[in-house]
Amino acid sequence: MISHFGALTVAQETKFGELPLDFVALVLMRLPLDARLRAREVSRGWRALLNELRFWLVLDFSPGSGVVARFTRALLFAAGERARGHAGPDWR
Amino acid sequence: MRRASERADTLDLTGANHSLDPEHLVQFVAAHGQSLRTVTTPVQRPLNADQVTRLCRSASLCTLRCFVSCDVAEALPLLRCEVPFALLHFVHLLVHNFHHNQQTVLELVAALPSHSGKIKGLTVHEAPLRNIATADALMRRIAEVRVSNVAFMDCNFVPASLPGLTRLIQAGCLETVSIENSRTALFEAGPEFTAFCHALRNSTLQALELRSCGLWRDFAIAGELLVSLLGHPTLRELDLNYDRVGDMDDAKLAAAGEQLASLITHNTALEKLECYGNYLGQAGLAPIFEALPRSSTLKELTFWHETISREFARDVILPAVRANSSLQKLSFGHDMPLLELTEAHAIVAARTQRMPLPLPPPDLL
Repeated sequence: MISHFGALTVAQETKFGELPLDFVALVLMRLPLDARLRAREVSRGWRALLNELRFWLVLDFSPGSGVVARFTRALLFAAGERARGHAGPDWR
Repeated sequence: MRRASERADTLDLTGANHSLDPEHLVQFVAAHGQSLRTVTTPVQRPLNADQVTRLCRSASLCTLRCFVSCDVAEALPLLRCEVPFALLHFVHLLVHNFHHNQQTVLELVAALPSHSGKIKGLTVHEAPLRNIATADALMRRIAEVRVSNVAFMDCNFVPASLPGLTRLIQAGCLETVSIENSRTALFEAGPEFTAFCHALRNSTLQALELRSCGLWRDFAIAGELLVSLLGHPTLRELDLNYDRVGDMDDAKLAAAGEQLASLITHNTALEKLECYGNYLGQAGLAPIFEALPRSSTLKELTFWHETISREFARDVILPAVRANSSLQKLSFGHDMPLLELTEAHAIVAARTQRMPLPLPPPDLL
């Protein structure tokens, strides 16, 4: 959308949810694993997107992964269940 | 229905460390082992031989990189790449329980080549290495299999062990050497010791630990060794813990401090210096803290069991810490109630405190 303020024309900021799904997927792919698990709860669209296996092939809990949640058995198994295409238990 | 290959294939747990219960990992791999192709476990959380065996059985096509702690009898089948350990890599292998039996060391020597290139770190604990031929055989084999980080804990090396250690360092594969020698004197003046120092000087070591080696028993020996490290281009960490200097007059303590201070001044790669239980005294500590403002790389400095007066803390330590900008950790142990030392700790600790990231705007999503 375009807004006009006299001579000044500025593009209104696009909201993240309005981006094409492929773009959203690229961003979600770069999220730490725990954030990706939480992102499933944002909307039905994201949940459907994050049910795709490509998000869960690599379960990265390395120091550079950005995972901030305390590592627990539940977190590990929740990520693993996503990779099997199962809804799995809540990890928190 | 998804095939096994369409599930998680990589699991990297290197950031989990102490929060990982190895049994949970075993359960996870039992459930997902068919699809997993690479699993890397934390470097600070060892698995025992039984856990490694169950992991390898559950994920037979998976490259498992892990830290294993086991006795030598358990280590042998793992090292020989027997079924199901063909794809096992050791991030670190800690071998213990040699039962004072040289034959067990020789069996380890015989098994190591099967794992050539697949052992990053090796710790040998309480191995009977006083026999020079046995020790040399182990050193040669460690060099052959290109271990990067090697530690000998309580192996009671003697001065005659130095040529073997020298050859190991000269092999050029090592990043870290750690020797904890149970207060047995390792160094003795002579050509073997000079060759050892020469090997250290020409090495590309990044960390050197010489604990309880009796380094300061002969002041000239300590001097020769520390001079060999002066200006070392790659050495980032030097650990001289439990090498007691004490029971010398102030002039000698000051000279010992000067030698360590020279390292701080001239070694631009040096980031960490540990001197637990060196008993340098204030005479030995003074030159070190006087040198501290001249270092722009030293991040960690540790002295335990030192007797420090309030005046020394106020007039020597605090000004040095304020004038230096690189130090991030300064430790005097837990028995230092002086306010000046607490302030010095706070100054360096503040350098590593992170500002919290601002929260994203609520309408971002």
